[in-house]
Amino acid sequence: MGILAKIFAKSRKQQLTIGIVGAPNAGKTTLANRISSECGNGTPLGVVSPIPHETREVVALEHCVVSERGSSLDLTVVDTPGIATSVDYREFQNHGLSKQESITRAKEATRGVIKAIQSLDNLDAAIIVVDSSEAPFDQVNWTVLGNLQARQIPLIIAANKSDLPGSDPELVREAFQSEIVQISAKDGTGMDNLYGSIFTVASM
Amino acid sequence: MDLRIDFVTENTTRRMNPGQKCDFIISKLKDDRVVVFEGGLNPEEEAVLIKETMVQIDHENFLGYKIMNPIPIRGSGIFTRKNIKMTVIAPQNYHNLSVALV
Repeated sequence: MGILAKIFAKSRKQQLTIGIVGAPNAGKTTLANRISSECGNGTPLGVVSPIPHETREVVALEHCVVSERGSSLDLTVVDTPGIATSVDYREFQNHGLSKQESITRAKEATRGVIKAIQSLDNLDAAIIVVDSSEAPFDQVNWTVLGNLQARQIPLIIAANKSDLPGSDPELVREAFQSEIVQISAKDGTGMDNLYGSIFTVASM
Repeated sequence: MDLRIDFVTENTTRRMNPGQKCDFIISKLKDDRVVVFEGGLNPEEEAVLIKETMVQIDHENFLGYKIMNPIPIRGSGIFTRKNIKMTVIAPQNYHNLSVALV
């Protein structure tokens, strides 16, 4: 190991609490489950569903071990509810839920959004998950980005759903004016690059 | 449906703390007004606004809001946020509202 590599390895954190944050239906829980299956004990952190706000609690999984060039990093992966500026129960009715079920879910969703924002205070690093098959201009992404930057929390922008035909990771890069990691949490494409980026932010 | 827009100058909100600013915005949203803020909100204020909105959503009349930080169409950096001069916040039911600065 070279001198620089030794210094780099010495300064890098051995443990990291990393949050998976972003708007609803960006694929946060799919990514959390992917990391759990590839690096952890395989326990799913949550249920994946096309219904928005399926994740309404902050869930953490400890001891997901990522390895790179003989080094390892012990991750606590924190899956968070989607952050939104509105919650309309009628959206859940469109997915087949009854009115009462929809209102109950909407109430849980509003509480989940608050928990997701509060969770930003407890992270060492974060992955902002952006659905690259949709126009990436949801203001929520910049709200999250700005709050992470204000807290000096290193972050990775993951342009997810690269497996979909309409995916445009380059637009995500342009919109954020930042390096991005192109992934498909669903099929695992780009995960090695994501793990590499996690190693990088662990050194910050 | 009439579109009611309140233009709010920086001078109006300068002395407000984030909580007061959020209460001010939410009261206007509940009155079905679109709010245009000179100077905009910073990310921390936006986070406070989201949290307070989630508390106040009643699942009947107030369902949240849409927020836009329009950027000038002309000039360089169409996707950058360097030239933001205002934040537009609208009640959630303004589905098709879009804003452009020219």
